[in-house]
Amino acid sequence: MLDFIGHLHPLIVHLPIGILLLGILMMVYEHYSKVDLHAPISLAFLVGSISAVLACLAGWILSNSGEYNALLVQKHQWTGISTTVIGLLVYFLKQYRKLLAVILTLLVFITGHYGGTLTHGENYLFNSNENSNTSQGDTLKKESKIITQVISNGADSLTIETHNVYKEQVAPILKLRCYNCHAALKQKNRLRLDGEIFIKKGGKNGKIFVAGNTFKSPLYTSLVLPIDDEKHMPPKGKHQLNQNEILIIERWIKSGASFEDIIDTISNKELVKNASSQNTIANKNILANPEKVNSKITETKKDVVENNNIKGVEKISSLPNPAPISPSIIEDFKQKNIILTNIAEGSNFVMVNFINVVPFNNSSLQALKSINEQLAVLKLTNLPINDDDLKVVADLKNIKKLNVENTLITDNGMDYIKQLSQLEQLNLYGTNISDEGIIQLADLKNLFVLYLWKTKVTLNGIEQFKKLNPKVTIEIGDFKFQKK
Amino acid sequence: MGRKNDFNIYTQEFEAINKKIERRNFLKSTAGGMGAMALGTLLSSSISTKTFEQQILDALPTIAPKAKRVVYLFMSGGPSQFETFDYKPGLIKMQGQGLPDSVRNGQRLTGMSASQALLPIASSFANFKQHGKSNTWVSDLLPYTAQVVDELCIIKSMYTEQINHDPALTFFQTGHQLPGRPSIGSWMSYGLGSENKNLPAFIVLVSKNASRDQPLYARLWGNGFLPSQHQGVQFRSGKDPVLFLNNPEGYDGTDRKEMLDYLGQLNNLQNEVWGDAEVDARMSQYELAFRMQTSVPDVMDTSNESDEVFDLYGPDSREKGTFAANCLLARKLLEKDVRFVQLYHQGWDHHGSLPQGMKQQCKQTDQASAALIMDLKRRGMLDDTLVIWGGEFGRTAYSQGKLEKDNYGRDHHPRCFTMWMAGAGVKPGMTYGQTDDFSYNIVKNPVHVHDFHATLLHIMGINHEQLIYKYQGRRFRLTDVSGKVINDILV
Repeated sequence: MLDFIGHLHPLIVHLPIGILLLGILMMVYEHYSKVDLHAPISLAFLVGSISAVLACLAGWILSNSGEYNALLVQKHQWTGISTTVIGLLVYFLKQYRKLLAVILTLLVFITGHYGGTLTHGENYLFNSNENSNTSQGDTLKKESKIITQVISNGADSLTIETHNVYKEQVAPILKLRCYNCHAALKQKNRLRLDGEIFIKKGGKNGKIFVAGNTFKSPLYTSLVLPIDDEKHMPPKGKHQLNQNEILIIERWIKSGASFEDIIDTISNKELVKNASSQNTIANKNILANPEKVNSKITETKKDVVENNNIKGVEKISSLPNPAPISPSIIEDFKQKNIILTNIAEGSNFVMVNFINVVPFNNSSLQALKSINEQLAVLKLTNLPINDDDLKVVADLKNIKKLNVENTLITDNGMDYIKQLSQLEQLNLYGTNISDEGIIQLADLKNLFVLYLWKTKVTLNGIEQFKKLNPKVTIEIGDFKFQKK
Repeated sequence: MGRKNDFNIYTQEFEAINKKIERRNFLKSTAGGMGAMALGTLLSSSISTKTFEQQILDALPTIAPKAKRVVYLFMSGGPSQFETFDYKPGLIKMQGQGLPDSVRNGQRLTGMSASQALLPIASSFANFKQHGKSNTWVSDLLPYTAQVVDELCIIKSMYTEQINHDPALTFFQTGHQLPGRPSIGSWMSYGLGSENKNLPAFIVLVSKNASRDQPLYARLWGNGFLPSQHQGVQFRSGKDPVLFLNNPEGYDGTDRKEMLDYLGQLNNLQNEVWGDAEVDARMSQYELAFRMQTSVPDVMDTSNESDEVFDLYGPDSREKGTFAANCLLARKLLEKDVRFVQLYHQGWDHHGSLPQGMKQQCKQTDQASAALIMDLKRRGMLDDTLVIWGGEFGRTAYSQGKLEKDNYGRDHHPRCFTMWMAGAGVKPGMTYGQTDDFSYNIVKNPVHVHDFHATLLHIMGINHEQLIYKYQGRRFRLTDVSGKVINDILV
C-alpha cells in the first residue's frame, strides 16, 4: 500500500505545479487587468499548497525505495519542502505575496528540474539521447581504443587489432538504453549497469547474467520478451534496443560476457590458419612480447570454439572481408537476372549464379568486373562460354570455387584459370580439357579438388599432375557398381 | 481494456503488413548480423556501409553454409534397422525367447502387439558384412549402398516421440505431431528462397512402384502458416507432371500471358489496399506456373540421358515414376539448383512377412539411392548437396505375430532407428550413435528428430533458433523450443 502511494508521487506532483503556477498567473493577470481575483488566487495557493504537502509525503515514501541517487533525492526533497512552505506563506502572508510569489515560481521550476533529472536521467533537458545512428557511431568510435600492432618479418606481416567488446560495444548500448534507470542517479530494482562491478552484482532479484547462457541471463531475456510482458526491458514506451544492439548483447553473453575479452582481427592468412596451434607466433619469434599476443589469440580461438561448440561456425574466409558491393551494382545484377548471394552471414564475399540469365549472352559476364574483389564462388555451368570469356574470370583474384562444367572451354582457357591463386575447387567436367590443360593448373597452391569426369584427360595426365601437386583430389567419375 | 489492447496489436500488425515488413524481416533487419546475408539473395535494403558494430560482429563466429541443396529420400512406413544397418548378431542365440523386461523397461507398445503373450525375439534374416574403408556393417539386402558406404554418415541412434505413422511422419516433416506446421522444405524455401526462378524451391516426387501400405498426404509437404509459395510442389510421372499447369485445350499461350498480366494488375490493386501476404503469394505462384509451362517439360525429359546413366540407377530408372527414375529426376532438379527435393517411397511397414517385404523394398531403392550419391559426386555436386535417407521410426526387436524361421513381422519402434546422410557438411564413412544389443534402447549419442532438424538447418547455414515465423501471436520454429546441432557428424 505504501509503495502504491509512493508511486503516486509523479501523478500528484503535477497538481501543485499546475495550481500554484495558475495562482501566480492570476496574480499577474490581476495586476494588469485590474480585475479583482483575490478570492480565486487565495484558493489556488491554498489548494496548491495542500496538494504540495501530499506530493511531499508521497515523494518521501517513494524516496525510501532506495532506487534513486540519494544526493539528488535530497536536493529534490528540500527544494520540494521549501516550495510547499513558501506556497503556504504566500497564502497566509498576503502583504508579501508578490515577493514570495517570485521565489515560489523559481522554486517550482528548480524542484521540477531535480524531479525530472531523477526520472529521466542527467542531461535529459538539453542532451537528448534518442539520436541517430551516426552520433552513436561517433560515441563508439570515441570510446573504442583499438590497439593495432603491425608485425613484420620479411615477407610475412600481420596486423593484430585488439578490441574490448564490453567497452566498445556493450557499454555504449547500456549507456544509451539503460543508464536512465539503472545508473548512478537512479537504480530501479537496485540495479546499476554503469560498471563492471555493478553488472556482476546484479539487482534486487539477483544476478543478471550467466556467462555463456543467454537464456539464464535476464540482461538478455528481458530484451527479447514480448513488449507487453512486465519483465520486458526497456519498459514499454521507452526507446527500445534495435536488433543489432540485442544481437551484440546476446553474442557478448554467449561468448562468456567477459569484460576484458579480446578479439583479434588478424590480417594474415597463414596466421589465421595456424592460430590454433599454440606455438605459431612464438616460434616465429617476431613479436616483442610473443607470449602475450599468442595467448590472446588462442584465448579468442578457444572462446569461439568452446562457447559455440558448433562446427562450421568459423570465419568464412581467411582473406580479409572486402568492401560491400554497392547497391547500384546489386540492382544492376538484379536487372540482369544474375543471382548474387553472400557466401555467409557477415561476409561480403559473394557467390554468383547465371542460371536465370535466359537467353544467355556472353557479354553479360562483363558484369563480373565490378565485383572482382568480392566474388568467391562462380557458377557458369551449362553455359555456352568459351576460352575468351574466361578473360573476365582471370581478374577474380579472390575466387575460391569455379564451376565451368559442360561449357565450351578448352586447354587455352587454362591460361586464365591458372592465374586464380586463391582457387580451391574447380569443376571442369564435360569440357574439352586435356592433359596439357590441367598440367598448367599444377601451380595453383590452394587447389584441393578438381572435377574431370567426361574430359579428354587421361590417367597418365593425372599421374603427371599428381607428381607436381599431390594434395589435389581428382574426381574422374570412374566409379562403377560391381554387379551383384 | 483487453479488447482495446487486442485492437492495438492488430493495428500494429496491420501496419507492419502495410509497410511490407515481410518474410525474413527479423533476419534481414539485422543487416549483416545473423542470418541476413546467409539467407537468400542480396537485396539492396540489406546493404549499407559497415558500421563499427558490424565490423565487430564480423569478427565473431558465423555459420558458413556447407550445403546449398538437399535431397531427402524418405522411406515411409518405418524401415527395419535390423535388416539394413544395425547389426545385432547377439539376437541369433536368443531367437524366439521373450524380450527381457529389463530391456523393454515398461515402455509403451502399439495396440497391435501390446496384447501378445510373448514378444519373441526375431534375429535378422539378412546377413551382414563389413564394407568399405570404414568397415561399416551393411546387410546383404543393400548390396549397392554397401559399395558407397564410405560416402555415408550413418546415424544409428535416431529416436522420435511418435509411435504411429501419421503423427510420426508429420513430426518428422514439420517438427510437430499435429498437422498444420510448415514442412522442412517449406522452411528452407522461406529461409533461403529459390535460386532457379523457373522452378519451385521445394519439389516432391512420390514413387509409383511402391506398395502403398500407409498413405501419404499433401500436407506433409505443405507450407502450414508460411506464405503459400513455399509449399512443396509434387511432380508426377505421366502426361501432366504438375497438375493444372498446362493451358486448357484450345487456349493460346499468348492469351494466357495477357490474362495473367491483367490479373496481376488487379491483384496489385488489391495488394496496395490490403497488403495481404497471400496476394503476393498468389501472384508469384501465377508467374511461376507460367514459367513452369516451359521449364517443367524440359527438366522432366530424361531422353538425353545416356545408357550409362540409366545403368547406374538400375533398370527401374527407365520406367517413369519409379523410385529409381525419381532419383535420376532428382539429380536433374538439383542440377537446376532446386533447393529441396523430397522423394517418398512407401511400403516399409512390415508388421508381417517382413523378409519378403524388405527384399522387395531394398531392391526398389538400394541401387538408385547409391547411384544418386555417386552421380552427384562425379558432377562435383556432392560438395554442396546433402543427401538424406530414412523413415519415420524403426521396428521392434521382437516379432509381431508368429515367429517362423523365414517369416516374421516387426512392430513400430520409435526409441531407436537408423538413417543416413551423405554429401555436403557431414563426415563421410562415419557411424554415429549406438543402440543396445536388442536395438531397443539407445546407449550412446541419441539424436532426436529436433536435433536432426537443427543439424540440417545448420548445414544449410541457418541457425535453427533464428529461423522464425510469427503466427497467431507467437513465434514458431521448425525445431519448436528444442533441438541441438549434432557437431560430431559435421565436417
